[in-house]
Amino acid sequence: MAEEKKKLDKLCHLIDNIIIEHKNVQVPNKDVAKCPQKQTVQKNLPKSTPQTPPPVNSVNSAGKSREEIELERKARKQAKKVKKKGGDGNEDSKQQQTGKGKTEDKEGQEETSKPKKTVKVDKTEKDVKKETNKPNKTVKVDKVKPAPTPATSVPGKKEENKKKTPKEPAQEKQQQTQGSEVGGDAADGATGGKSKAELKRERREKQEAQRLAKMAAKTKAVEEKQPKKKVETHADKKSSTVEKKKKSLGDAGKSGKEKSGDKKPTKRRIPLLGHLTQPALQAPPAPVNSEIIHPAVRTLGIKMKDRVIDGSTARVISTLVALKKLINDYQTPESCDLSRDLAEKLAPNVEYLNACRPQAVAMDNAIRFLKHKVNSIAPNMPEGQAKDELRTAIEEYIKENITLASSTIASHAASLMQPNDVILTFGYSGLVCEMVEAACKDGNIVNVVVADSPQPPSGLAMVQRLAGLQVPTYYRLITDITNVMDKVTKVVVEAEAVMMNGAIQGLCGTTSLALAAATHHKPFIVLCHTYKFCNNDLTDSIVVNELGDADKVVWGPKGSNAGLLAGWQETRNLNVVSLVYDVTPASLVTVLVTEQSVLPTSAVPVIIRRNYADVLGQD
Amino acid sequence: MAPPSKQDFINKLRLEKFESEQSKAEESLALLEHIVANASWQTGSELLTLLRNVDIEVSAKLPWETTPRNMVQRALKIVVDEYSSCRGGVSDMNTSGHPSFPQVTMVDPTGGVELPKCDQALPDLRDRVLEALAEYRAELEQSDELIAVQGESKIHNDEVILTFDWCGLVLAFLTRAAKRRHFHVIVAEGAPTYQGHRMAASLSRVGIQTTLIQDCAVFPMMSRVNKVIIGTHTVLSNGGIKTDLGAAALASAAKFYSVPLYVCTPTYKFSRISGEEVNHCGSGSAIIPTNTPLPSSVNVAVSRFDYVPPENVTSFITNNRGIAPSYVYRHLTELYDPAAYHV
Repeated sequence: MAEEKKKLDKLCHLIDNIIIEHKNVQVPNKDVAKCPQKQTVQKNLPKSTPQTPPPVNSVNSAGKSREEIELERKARKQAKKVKKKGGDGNEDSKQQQTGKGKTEDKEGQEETSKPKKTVKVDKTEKDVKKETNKPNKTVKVDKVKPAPTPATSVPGKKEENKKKTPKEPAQEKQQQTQGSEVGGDAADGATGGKSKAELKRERREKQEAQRLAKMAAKTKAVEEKQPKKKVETHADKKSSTVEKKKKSLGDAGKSGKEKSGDKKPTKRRIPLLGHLTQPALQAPPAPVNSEIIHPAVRTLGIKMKDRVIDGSTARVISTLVALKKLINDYQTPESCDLSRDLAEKLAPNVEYLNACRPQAVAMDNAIRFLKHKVNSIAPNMPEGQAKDELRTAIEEYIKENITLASSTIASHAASLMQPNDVILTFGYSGLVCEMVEAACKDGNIVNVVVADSPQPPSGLAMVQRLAGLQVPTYYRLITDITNVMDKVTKVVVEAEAVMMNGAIQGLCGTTSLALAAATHHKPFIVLCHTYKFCNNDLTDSIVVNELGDADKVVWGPKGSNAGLLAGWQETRNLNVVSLVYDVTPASLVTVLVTEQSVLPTSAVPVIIRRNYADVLGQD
Repeated sequence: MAPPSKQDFINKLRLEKFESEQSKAEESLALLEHIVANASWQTGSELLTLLRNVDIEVSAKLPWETTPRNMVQRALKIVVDEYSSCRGGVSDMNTSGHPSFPQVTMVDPTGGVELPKCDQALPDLRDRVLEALAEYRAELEQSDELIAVQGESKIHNDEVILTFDWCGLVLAFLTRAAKRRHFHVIVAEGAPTYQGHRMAASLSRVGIQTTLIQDCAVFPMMSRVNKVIIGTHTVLSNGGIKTDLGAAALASAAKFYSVPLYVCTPTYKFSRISGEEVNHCGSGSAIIPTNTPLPSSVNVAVSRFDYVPPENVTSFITNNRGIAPSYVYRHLTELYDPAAYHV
């Protein structure tokens, strides 16, 4: 009977201690990290002792050994559980300690009037003293069974996990209210009822805590939706959590801006150009050793996105080379047709390149050619032979349509030149350089005026190359060409693509040259490889185009006008647009120089039908 | 404030310290008023000579600065008019009061034209001239407002308007129109000065839907534009304009797509010079990015002005009314005295 009584007493004490545990005083971190449970247990004791001094003491003296063993066992269990939770457990307990410390303090402040509270204040002092002691003593002194405490501390931790928001006061309040709640109950249970005012206050605090918890949960949900949410799991970094979350919310850093930049164009419509996609600021995600996207393709995509590889010819050659690598590394899986499977494997790679930077017409044509070639491989052809065939097809395509064609075009065009011609050209153009070279070899020294747009200044590279050829070179802005047109004899430009109706797609700015040439009655000569002819018929530059990096336009100017429009993405009324291509109507083009011969623009559909009908097809 | 002096004024012009043509006009008028009020002269002819000296000096040092020269011409006209009305309206005018046809059309190309003879010393000439100049000053200050008011009658709802570079008048024009109309404005940035950025910023601040484009994109966008409205530096006597770089390309594109081109200009920009002969080149360093050195054999230069021929301009929006380019010559006779022009 006595033993049963003692057990009952123990249970009562356990319950008390469980409740009181939540109101524990702050404990130094190191100690907590090492043996959280022991410290909580340690704290429990001092609190319980003043509250119910006689039974505790008696129990202490009587059942030490068995309790001691049980306590130790349960302490070990607790320690294991804490280890499993790892950092969480530490933080939680730390939070518990800190929160409880604050609650304890607040409680102490609140309840100074009543004697129990003064006792509690004493408790805190004692707690502090006890905490400074080493944990060695705790085992012997411990009475409280740690078994229930994990259960209660776990929900406590969970609650704290849930409420782990940057609002420190909220947490404090919550724990305070928890504590006060608990404390109220404990006080009720232990001392037999507080005054009504106290109860009311505690109820109000509970409600306040619940309301704050709700708000905290809401903000947490909102933050989880934020693009860059860092889940902070360290309690001692509470303040830094606040700072970091503020930073991620309000940061104008690239990642945040990209996200907002990505969202904004879909929400706001640039007048007339809303259908054009904004330039990709980040390459679409693809792991480095992806099975779908070949690493060569991935590298190429990033280079194209960053404009390291620019200009249709360069892009075509590099695309074909990358796809050649893909074909090299490709192995037909069993029971699969090479042609069909390879076509399927090619598709996502092509899409990836497209997503990095919208495909140029020339690239499109080259890839169509490749697909056509892949489709035409006989099903029973051995893999090695098929791959060889594809490889040689690619190499021949590049050789015929680009390398040899370029030199033919150059010689055709050079034959149009006369000594002391002044040629106006736009931006960087490999073909025009080759033409000038060929003309110099023929003995016709030509002067070249390079017109250039400020962003991107591709003409600088052109000027350097021409100066290397010992050709008199002039460099002017695109806005300045009317002042030069008197002296110019011919305008020569390279095209990015030629449309079926004879319209020329070139880099943005070629039409200004075309118009100036027409106004001043000078011939406008366009150089173009035939593989760039396409079946589209464009009449203006707005329907099909590519948007360039608008920020380069904003930061382009030197001096006081640089960056005036830096906040344009946030300004509702303001748009900054940088077009990459423009379309020159066929009426402004005098003559088209291709590797076939020097043609009028009306000959374009004839060439398409003759040479590229199977590739370009009937789309 | 120190009394305005010719030298100070010319230095200020040279160092490009004026923020706009309007301020140049106002300050040159102040200078002229000062000369009329304080310089020692007895007869009208002496005054005319004094005033014309300003013109000669400015044109010697800064021939492209037409605004001060136009102000001088206007002042000369005012003096001649006041003189003749003082004397009782006896002059070599037609009975109808307009200058005779030969006077209008024939300007002596050799220059050094003789000023009209105003030899009589009239006591109240000074006061009357000052009064007339004060009236002219009031007109000058109102010209912004008078031009802006015409905005509503030129723009309809949902229009797309193209403009280029910074012009305070065009800004006022569009701002005023935006109060009653809703339209989009596309601004070409205007390399190498890039004043278009400033214009776009100001327009968007006023609440107008603005898009900034590069100069090379003017032709592509022109197909969707309803009107082009620009400002200018000078209006030439043939009806063409001389303005910042890029306007010629803009005007050609507008002509190609048959888009009307309006030029907002106050009367003091109307000049008697005829051609585009005065154009000078600035330093090429403005257009080369700072970190890319070009080989020294390359010739780099930037012109200051662009010439737009009269056939590309639809109409001039001025203080009083719209003027067609073909009618500019007639307007000039109202502004300036045909005989007083110094080439």
